Amino acid sequence: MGDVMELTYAEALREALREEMIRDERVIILGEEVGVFGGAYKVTRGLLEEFGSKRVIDTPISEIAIVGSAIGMALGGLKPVAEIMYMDFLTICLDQLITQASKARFMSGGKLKVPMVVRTQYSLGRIHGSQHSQFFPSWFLQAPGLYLALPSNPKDAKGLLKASIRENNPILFVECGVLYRSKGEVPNEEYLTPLGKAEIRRKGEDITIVAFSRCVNEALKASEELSKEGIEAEVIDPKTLIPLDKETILSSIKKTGRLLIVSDDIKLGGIGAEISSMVVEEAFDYLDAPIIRIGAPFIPVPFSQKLEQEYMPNADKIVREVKRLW
Amino acid sequence: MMPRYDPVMEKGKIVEWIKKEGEFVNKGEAIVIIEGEKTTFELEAPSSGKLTKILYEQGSDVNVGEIIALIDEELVEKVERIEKVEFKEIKATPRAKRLAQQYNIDLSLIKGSGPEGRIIEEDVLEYIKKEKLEAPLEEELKPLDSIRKTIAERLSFSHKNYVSAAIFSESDFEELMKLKSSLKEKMNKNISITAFLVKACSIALKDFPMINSSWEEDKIRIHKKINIAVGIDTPRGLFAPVIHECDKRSLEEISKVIEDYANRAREGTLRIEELTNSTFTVSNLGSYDVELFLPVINPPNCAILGLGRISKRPTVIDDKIVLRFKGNLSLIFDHRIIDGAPAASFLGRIKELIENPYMLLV
Repeated sequence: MGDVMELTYAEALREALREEMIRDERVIILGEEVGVFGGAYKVTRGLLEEFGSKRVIDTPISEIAIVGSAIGMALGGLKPVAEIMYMDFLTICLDQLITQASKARFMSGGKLKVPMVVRTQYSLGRIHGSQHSQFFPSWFLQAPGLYLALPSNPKDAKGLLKASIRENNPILFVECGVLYRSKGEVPNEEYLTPLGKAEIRRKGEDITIVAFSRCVNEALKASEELSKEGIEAEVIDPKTLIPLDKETILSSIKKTGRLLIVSDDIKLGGIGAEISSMVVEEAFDYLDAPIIRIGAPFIPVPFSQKLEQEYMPNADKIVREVKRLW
Repeated sequence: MMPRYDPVMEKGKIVEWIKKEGEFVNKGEAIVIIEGEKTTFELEAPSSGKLTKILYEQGSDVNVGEIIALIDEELVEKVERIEKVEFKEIKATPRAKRLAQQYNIDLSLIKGSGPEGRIIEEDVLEYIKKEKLEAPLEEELKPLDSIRKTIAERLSFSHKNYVSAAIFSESDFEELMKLKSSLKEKMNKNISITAFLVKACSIALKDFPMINSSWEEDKIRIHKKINIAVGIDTPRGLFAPVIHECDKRSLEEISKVIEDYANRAREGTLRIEELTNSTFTVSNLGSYDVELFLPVINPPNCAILGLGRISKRPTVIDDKIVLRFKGNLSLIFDHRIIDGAPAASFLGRIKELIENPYMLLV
């Protein structure tokens, strides 16, 4: 066996869960259909058999109860990993996440900790309709205390999930549904991917592209196209939105002078808006072009496959927008 | 040029110049009144520009075809261009503007190649290359942090308000260095030079209470407690933590406190009470290659003692030249509080204690 193995994004997540459950018996999985059914997207397949029903708990269909129980477990000393089947369903447990989980540590003067991971996924691009395809990370930017991870590939999916489980703060871990079956190299040796540390996935001198989750792959594809035209893009994957690795983004912009931000959320009030403002505040004098944001339009996700594809950011859109700057 | 207004006209008389030399004229504007054979007419400017030269004065008769005045068309264009530029919005990116500012380049001289004619960094770089402009001096504007601000405020206060006077004295450190090394050898105790100095000052201050004081408008406050601050350099700036009631502490204790303060000053974990209420200050630059220096009095103290490098120097003892450890002491004091003579006696007392260091042990 070599130094790396090829795993799908879902398998990599399962490996992370397995390893952490073996390492620490306080790690508990709970959620809808995570046990007998092995998870709606098979991430938790086999874990019930391996760890038993005390550590892999099938819950009733009540997201508020799932997150509420997880918070209780975490406050009581366990390390729960709750699964919310669709990101859309987080709206039901916003109070638990935002008003309870993220505040506990601050309001107790550091005496209480909520070492909880809430895993969820967004299904944009899978023809699941307006109510099962939403991606709204920026709603959670206003909850100090809550971390937000957005893995873009199998290697980070595993490393970030392991690091998240070991973290003492509550973490919203948003997986990308269309990536579950995508494959990638994952190191055989144990590793953790630090939260709050971006990775430069491609080096370039002409423009910085900050991309999240699935859009990292689109940005990489677009960069190859742009390269043919003599434009070298630097692609940055922040991996976590909170904490955000501002340093890596800013130092790249100081080099390139141009910035494009791409993510699957709605452009209005989205991730791109926040990063764009941050860059204007901290690196205004380095900008050599207007900042470009690519996100989804301000409409619900269409159910028609064609329209949904049109709705989503993609490599073509990135290429088109970047070329506008030259 | 003198025009021909009718077939028989051979000459024209310049009746009056409407425009003066140096004025700007527009095409079609009357510039001169000319009297021909049959009639008087106004000659219009054939083009816009500056009327640079009038060749014939009023009253002159000029042959048809002769040039009577010169208009410089170039000049009018330049004027127009400048006016246009003044009102034209120049589109340039922040990055281009920043670079242009560094090189002191007028952006109106650069043509933008970006979208909508926006000037981008590359355009400025090209201009710099074309004009062979010198790279600007690298300068940095560093905002003051709170430590720098505090240091600046305190030192400015001292400089503005205190009448500082200085006296110097070379002191023999031979015995003290011996004592220091035997304490290390025999008792494994590391006593710093600064600690010896602080101890010596605390004893001397007891004998000269007027120096352990502060100026307060119409009175002098004489402190009962002897709290000596020591200057400690850190990457973040100078700190002067205070060893409270030094007179009641042993040399070893003082040395340990200084060491602890130095560590914590570097870590930035000194507490506010450890930085306040000093009554005197000691500044030791002995670890640098400094012979003598004039420290600034640390307000609200009356005086500060400085020590330069201690080194082996030729010294006359019993009419023989021998090598001894010597160091220069400087005492800077507020002359409003004490005069030169008592200050000199105080410095003499410190010198005596240093040269007879056993006195510091009891």
